[in-house]
Amino acid sequence: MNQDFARYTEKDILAHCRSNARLLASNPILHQTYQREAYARAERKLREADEEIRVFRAWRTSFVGPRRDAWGHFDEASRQAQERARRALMHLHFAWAALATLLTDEEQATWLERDFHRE
Amino acid sequence: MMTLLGLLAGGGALVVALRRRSPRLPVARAAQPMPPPAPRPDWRAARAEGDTLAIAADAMADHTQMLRSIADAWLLSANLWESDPAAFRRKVQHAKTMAMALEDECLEVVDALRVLERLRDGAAAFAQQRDQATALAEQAEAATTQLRAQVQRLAEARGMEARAPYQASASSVPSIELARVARLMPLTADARPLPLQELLG
Repeated sequence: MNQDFARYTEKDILAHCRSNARLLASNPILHQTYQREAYARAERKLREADEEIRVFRAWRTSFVGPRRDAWGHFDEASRQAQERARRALMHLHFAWAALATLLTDEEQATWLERDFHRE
Repeated sequence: MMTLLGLLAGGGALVVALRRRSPRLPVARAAQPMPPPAPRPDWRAARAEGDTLAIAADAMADHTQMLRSIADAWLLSANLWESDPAAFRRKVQHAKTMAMALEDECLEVVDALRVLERLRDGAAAFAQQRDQATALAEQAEAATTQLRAQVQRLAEARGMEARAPYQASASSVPSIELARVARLMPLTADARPLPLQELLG
């Protein structure tokens, strides 16, 4: 008998259940015994599934964790430097906006062509 | 890195859900209508993307195959003596859920590893970006220092408070986006410092 229940057609399901219902009606104690044993096996399978999920997650931690520690911060210095540059440019815009109010157009043009070395 | 945190946190709910619908109580529970199965991206295909992903995909395929076998065995025992067709069908659905229980987490692992592999492979590019951004920041800081000194000199010469020019102009300052930083960064590759015009541009 094919017992891949996942592939049972509706007809298969009805036949299967009808057969079990007949046993349940004719010999309830026997059916109960079979049922109890089968459910005990099913319970064990549920625990195995839990265990498999737990093992998977342990694998994931041991696999991803060290790689995250090793590579996860490779862009950190670059991101920090870009944020520093962003703030520096904002301060520069503030300073230029203030200075421009004190300069003539010609003076502004001269300043805009200058570059600046850190001493 | 949020995905990584998420996948470490998102643990036991499913196991609890599986237990709650254990075969001791199959008939007592009303059948939950299953959401229509959304097409899942296939994490198994990611094995072709890189060495780390290949190792991970193989390991995850073993785990999911094992879980699938367990779900099959559970279904066999849970339905062997079932006499109620509705309960039978419910348990078939439940076995499917059980077999697929790790699919989302496998997808998350693949996403996280893709990010990490990209970071690893980009080490040289990140170092270059860091150097360019640092050079840009230093030029902007040096320019700011000189501009501020000039503001102070001119304000003093005119008998103004040094803060006054900043207050007068504050509203005309744009907010600086990281995209603008990224656009200016390559320009620092020249040894020559950028003129103020370009720093502001």
